[in-house]
Amino acid sequence: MIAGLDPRYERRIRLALRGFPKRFRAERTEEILGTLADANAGRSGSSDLETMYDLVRAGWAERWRTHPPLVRWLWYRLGGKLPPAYRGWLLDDLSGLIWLRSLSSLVAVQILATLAASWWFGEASFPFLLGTMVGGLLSSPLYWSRRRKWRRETLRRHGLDELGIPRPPAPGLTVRRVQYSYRAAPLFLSWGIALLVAFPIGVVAFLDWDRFPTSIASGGWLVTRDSTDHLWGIGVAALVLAALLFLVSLAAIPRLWWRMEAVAGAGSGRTDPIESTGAAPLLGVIAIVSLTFAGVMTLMILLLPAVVLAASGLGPCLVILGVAALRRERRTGSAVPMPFVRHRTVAQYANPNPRATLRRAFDPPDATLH
Amino acid sequence: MREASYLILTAVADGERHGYGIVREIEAISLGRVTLGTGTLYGALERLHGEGLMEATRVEVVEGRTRRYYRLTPRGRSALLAEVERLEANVSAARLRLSGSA
Repeated sequence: MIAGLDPRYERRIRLALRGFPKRFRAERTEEILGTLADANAGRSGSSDLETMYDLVRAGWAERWRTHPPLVRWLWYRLGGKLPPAYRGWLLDDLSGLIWLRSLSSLVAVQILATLAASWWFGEASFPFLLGTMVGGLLSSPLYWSRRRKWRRETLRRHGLDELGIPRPPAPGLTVRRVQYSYRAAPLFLSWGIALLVAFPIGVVAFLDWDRFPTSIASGGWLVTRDSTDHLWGIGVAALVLAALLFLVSLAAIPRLWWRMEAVAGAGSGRTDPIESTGAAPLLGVIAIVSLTFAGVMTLMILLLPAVVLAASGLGPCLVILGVAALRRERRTGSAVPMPFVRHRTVAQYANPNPRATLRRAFDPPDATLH
Repeated sequence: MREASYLILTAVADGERHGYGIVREIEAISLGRVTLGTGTLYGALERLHGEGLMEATRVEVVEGRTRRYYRLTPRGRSALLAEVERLEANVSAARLRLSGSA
């Protein structure tokens, strides 16, 4: 409690100060309350409402001023790096519900894509929007389960330690730049982004909504026999997609595992992965199963939303898989040159056998990523 | 430069001041025309600090109230001087035209 301030007034001021970013409040709340106490001592009848309005307005202006621009922000949400100028914002962001924010960002992108598609084709898109949101909700356990790892990796990516303090290069550590390439990540990312953008457009284009005698407005979701031809197409497409996804998983996930085993084993015969691959394979299985289920359901001409629900969640899921794979590969690495995706700045100890010791290079807290 | 920034920089141009001291000084400088709200003041202080125009010198607690003192940095002094010169040029130009039209 601040001397000279009415406790109720102080509570209201603290509430109004919530408009300011967290880092600002941590540093300045007591000072602002002190200033208000000084002001109240110096004059009588200061306007409570006016002060609160001024604090709320200034707080949101400060948030707006320090927030990264839209494109940078979106890039960060998808796993990119922010410039040092946004470090304060980054630390605030990581101290909050980062998983919920990242999830809602991806779902928002998909909703925008769906809206754009429905606007282009001039059709109602309620099932797609609903499917997107349900798909996002279905993906939320993945985000939630990865929240600590996400925070740790984001800090490391920005060259910060667990307390958010920049890590200087350790003395005596030889850092060299090595070009690494990624095999699995581009596959996941390309599939994810393609689905994220193309799926709503493709499905809306594919469906001839006029053939559906029941509309959203009338509350009917059951599809009649009139649209059998289209539904057969959708069902087959869903099954083909599921099969392709399965093949991609077969191609990509064991390779990730193999790499981690190679890093751990280094000729020692150990085959245990260094760390769990997390929810990624599980999510892949869920995606494949749900797609297959949706395909079969559609072929049985049951419910259109089953397809929508299953497929709308795929975009965010695959983007998550891609980002997770990219990060994992950045850590574990591979020296195999690939033409399309390269990350050029991975620090490691100077060692003639990078594949065998790369993991160890990132273990010490003083190892630095640039 | 915004008027609030200009007034805040001016208020600490002759020495360090804490938050409420700056508010009172601004009232005096502007002859009572401007009363800076607390939110506006601290939003501007944060921005000016981020731009390297002001710095905090010390913190003290007086009768349970936290006070942080601020002063101009060399960069802030240069920015204020540049702004004053710009304003003077504007005023001179306006006076010249007014006296010519009279």
